[in-house]
Amino acid sequence: MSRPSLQTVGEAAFARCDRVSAELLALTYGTFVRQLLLDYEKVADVNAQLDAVGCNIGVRLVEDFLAKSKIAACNSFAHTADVIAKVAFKMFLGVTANVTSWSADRNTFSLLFDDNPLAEFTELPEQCPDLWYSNVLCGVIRGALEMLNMKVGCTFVRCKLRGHDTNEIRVSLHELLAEQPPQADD
Amino acid sequence: MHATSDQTSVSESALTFLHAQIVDYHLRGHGGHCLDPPESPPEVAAHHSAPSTMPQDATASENQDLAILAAKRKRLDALGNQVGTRLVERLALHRSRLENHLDMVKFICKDFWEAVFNKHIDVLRTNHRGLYVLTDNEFRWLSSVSPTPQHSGLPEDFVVFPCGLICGALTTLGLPCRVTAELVPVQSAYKCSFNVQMIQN
Repeated sequence: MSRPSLQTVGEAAFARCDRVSAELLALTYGTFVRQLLLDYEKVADVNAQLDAVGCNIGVRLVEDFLAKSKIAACNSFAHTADVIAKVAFKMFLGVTANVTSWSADRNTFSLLFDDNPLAEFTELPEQCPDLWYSNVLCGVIRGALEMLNMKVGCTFVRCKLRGHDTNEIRVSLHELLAEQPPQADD
Repeated sequence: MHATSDQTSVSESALTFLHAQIVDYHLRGHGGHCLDPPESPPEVAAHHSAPSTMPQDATASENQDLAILAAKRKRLDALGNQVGTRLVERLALHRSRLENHLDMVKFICKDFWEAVFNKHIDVLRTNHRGLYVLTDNEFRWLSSVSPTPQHSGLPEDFVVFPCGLICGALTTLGLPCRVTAELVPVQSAYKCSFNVQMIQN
């Protein structure tokens, strides 16, 4: 019996989730980003804060992801990349991404996605062309993978809000962390 | 029954995780720090509950803390208000005008609640004099947010943004109001009553 494709697994996980209006997520996120732009003087600090918020989400979300997706452990970084693109993106955001542009050492890849529910109804304010509006996603991936003992770097390199043809996040594996021994009970 | 189709919906947990972070940012993170008194550095503020030799000072600082917390919550409430305003404009776009206040509240109880909380309000009561009480027997944004050690938030923190949402939505529909919430723990969940008090013009 052939195993179901990750696409199918992602769709099934999404179908199992309770869902809310995508407009609500987009509006809530957009209003939060606007607040950050008011609270910080530098756009670079807003990008960093979005990444930090994402990381906090990622470390919490990974448990929810494993429970609902019923995904078995990934046996390679390439497999991890596909699971993020086809299952995690689908399950949480209702869209899928594509994995492309692997580096020669197979440690870096790109996630490409055209539909971005976070950026619906959004235009970048003219005074902050350096904002990576959806930078929270980089943090989420980084935080979630860290919980799975993978230390990665994530950066946005293309964003449709900036006029690029698609959205692209570059993900680099820096280090595989050793499994932490479970803490003794005494 | 899902009113939202697959193309226009996202997982509820994506939203509740984001909401928890927004709450954290406003009440305990950078978004709240701008409201903290500049003369008290964080390490001093962290010890405000230590026994003080000067009780009157302790009371004063407690009052100040309460005032700061209220100001922080107000900013969070305002954020919810903006989201509620914009969301209801979209939800009500294609429907006929809501004629009276009760219809507006019913719209919030059904269509709006469905979009936001994936269910309808369980009980609606009114005194017919401008007070509406919307009761959700199992408030979802509290059931899916599990408190973690770093996450010392009170359950009350998680209804500030929703109060703003409802207030923004109703005000936009034509019912200017003040919204407060009461939480009652029921087994492992929370029953939440939103009190909507119309503001007389």
